[in-house]
Amino acid sequence: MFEKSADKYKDRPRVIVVEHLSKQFGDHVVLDDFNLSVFKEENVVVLGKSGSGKSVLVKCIVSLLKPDLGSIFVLGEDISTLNDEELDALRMKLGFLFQSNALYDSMTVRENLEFPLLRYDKSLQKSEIDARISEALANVGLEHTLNMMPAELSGGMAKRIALARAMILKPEIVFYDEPTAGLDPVTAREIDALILKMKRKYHTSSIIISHDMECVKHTSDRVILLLEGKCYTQGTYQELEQSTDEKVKQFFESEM
Amino acid sequence: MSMQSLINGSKQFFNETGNIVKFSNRFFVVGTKPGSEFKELLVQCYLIGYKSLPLVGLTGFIMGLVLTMQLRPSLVIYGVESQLPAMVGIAIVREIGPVITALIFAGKIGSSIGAELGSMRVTEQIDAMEVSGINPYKYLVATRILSTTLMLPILSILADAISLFGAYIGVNINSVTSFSLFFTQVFQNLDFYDILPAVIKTFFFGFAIGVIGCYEGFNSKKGTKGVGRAANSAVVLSSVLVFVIDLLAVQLTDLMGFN
Amino acid sequence: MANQTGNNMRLGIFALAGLITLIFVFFMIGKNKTIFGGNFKIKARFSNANGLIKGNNVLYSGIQAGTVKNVEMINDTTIEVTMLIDRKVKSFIQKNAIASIVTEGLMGNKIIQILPSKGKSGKVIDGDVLATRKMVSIDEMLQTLSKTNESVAGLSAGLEKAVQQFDESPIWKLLRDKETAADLKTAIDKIKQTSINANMFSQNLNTIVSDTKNGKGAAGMILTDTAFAANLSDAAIKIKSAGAQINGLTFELDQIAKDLKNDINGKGFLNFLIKDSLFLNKINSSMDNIEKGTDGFNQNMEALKHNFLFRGYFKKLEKEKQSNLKK
Repeated sequence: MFEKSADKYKDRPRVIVVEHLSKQFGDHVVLDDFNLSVFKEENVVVLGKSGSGKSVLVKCIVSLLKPDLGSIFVLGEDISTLNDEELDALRMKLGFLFQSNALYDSMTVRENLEFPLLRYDKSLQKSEIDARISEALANVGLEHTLNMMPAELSGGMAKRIALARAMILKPEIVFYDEPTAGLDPVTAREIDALILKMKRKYHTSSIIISHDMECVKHTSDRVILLLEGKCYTQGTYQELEQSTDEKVKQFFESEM
Repeated sequence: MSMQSLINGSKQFFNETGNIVKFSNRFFVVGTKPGSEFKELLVQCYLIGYKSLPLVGLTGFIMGLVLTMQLRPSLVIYGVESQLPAMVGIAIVREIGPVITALIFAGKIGSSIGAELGSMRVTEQIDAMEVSGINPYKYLVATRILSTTLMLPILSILADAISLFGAYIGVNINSVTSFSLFFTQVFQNLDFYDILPAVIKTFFFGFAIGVIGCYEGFNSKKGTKGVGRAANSAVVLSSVLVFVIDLLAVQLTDLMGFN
Repeated sequence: MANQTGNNMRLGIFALAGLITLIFVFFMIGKNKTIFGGNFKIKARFSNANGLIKGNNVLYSGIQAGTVKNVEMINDTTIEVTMLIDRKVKSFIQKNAIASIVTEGLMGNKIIQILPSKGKSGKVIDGDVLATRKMVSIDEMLQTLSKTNESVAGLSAGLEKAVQQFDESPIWKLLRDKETAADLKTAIDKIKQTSINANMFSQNLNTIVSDTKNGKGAAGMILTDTAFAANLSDAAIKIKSAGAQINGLTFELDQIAKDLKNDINGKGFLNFLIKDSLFLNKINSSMDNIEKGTDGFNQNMEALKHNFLFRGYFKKLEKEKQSNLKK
């Protein structure tokens, strides 16, 4: 019934297709026959309780975790059939913003940004690298932090640098794992704005994991509610907000 | 009940052992591929090798000095005090130098690798590396294992030399020996069969310390507790392994008639 | 970036230092073990290898001359040892040099000792087989020493008896020549002294031998010092020769005593006097020999005292003496 709401993206190519994905840790079933498609330039928010398998889903897609069952296609390639080199090549086209930022704390901001670049294309000239780094820092408005260490950055700054790093290779798909968690509302909205800016500027598709409803409201084209390892329901933010389903209502009410 | 826990415990032990073997096997698969992280290797060699020299040198010096002073009384009883340099030399080169250096190295480097990789795991830095198309095993683990494998032998050779110098001073506390006489006596009683196995086994010590440190860090559990645990078990396990390898080495050299 | 270069430089120095140390150590050992040169081989055959193994040192007149390359059983009683000899030393080794297996120091490394023999026989050539000498075993040596000791004791007893008889014999009364009498007296005194000395030495030796046999002190456990063994051996030989001389002397004294008796009985006194001076000379020179022998033995005993193995034993002896004096 909600399918038509995403019509805007329907005729675009699918960048991520997840079919019958199952994953369990010991006896704990995290994902159970889960299906998902992400269309080009679409921002999909995955909503769910803590421990409902949102992060596991994303980690399966980028092949940090191996699924028990099911297949995952990213940019048309079945990731389970790729060898290490092919997987690395595919990952160059993906960006990932970690909940903990995951900045390399032994490196300066510059080295953090440089790190993927140097390995992406060994023939890059120093001037090109410098240009890419300043562009990435300008995007998040933090040019002055170039030579700072991650430990010297505030939470919001670190998040932005992490975003800059996720975008440095100009990826086609970006994964945001709780991008606004642990930030004050003002900074959180700045991050929301940056996510939208990146989408417009680099035409990225995204999967955003969040339970910050403000963030969901601003950034989502489509929301997927993940409950007990299955896709419980999906639709636009507005559609879900008006839902009468008890389980859906829970999310919206608890946030208000 | 206790039987069940015993079975579970041994299951876990074998599982862990298998994982470590797999983990170190990856080193040979990944490490031999071209395009290795040479620059990072140099950085790690500097941090792991060069930076450990003062500590290893100090302990080596003290060991040489103490060993000499402790051995002297028993040699005096047999009236073979003149054999002190030869005896200390062989003890240092064959056993004390490599093993003490490896233990100090396990304490310093094993724990630091365990803690570093552990915290990188916990703060998702390893995942971040992986998803940006960089093989973290190659970048973080292979370079560190190779560094420990290459640096420990050098450290242990230098520690031997410093230790012998300590022994020279130890001899001179109670009697007077010239520098050249001392070293002539030491080298006269040393054989290639004393040095070669001792040097070769330090490669294995270094490899074991690197593998265990990286394994524990790489597979660290979430949270700060996980990091501490990774560092701790890296030291404990690699120290035990040093002794196990030492035992194997002595039996092997014995079998090959190198004694 | 500059920092990076500096670090790399330090790393380079560090690695080179390790490498150079290793090379230096190898060189130092190589110098001793002749692994880097020389394939000049000589051989020696032993009936007992005494635990000699590949890599043991070979000394020529006490100088490092090479290493043992191979120890091989060639038949049920013969072991062939192949030695690699240093270039520098090989030209000094003669064909008639003698090889033996001895123990280096105390800690038990076996070595091959090559000693030159008297006379020229030409330089050794590659593959020569040297003559060998059986190593003196401490057990055998102690046995010999013990036997020698017994015979010395027997000899001195006999000598004493002879002298006594001589002293009591009636010829003294007949000897009017005072000088001769005095000379004879000194000679006899010397013989007495010698016999007493010999007795003492034999007692000392007895104690040492029995102590060693019973395994008292460090000596009993680790009597492997070859220098000491040689000393003891020498001492035993000297005692033997001294004993032989004493024996001869007694015989002569006996003979003369008989002659004297004959003189008194029949032949003239002049005859005796002429004989007498010859006889005295003989006695004197014999005495000298005995003295030399005992001197040598004394020296050996002194050397023994200084030998580390027996140092403890002699110290204990001295202590006992002192404590006895105090009492």
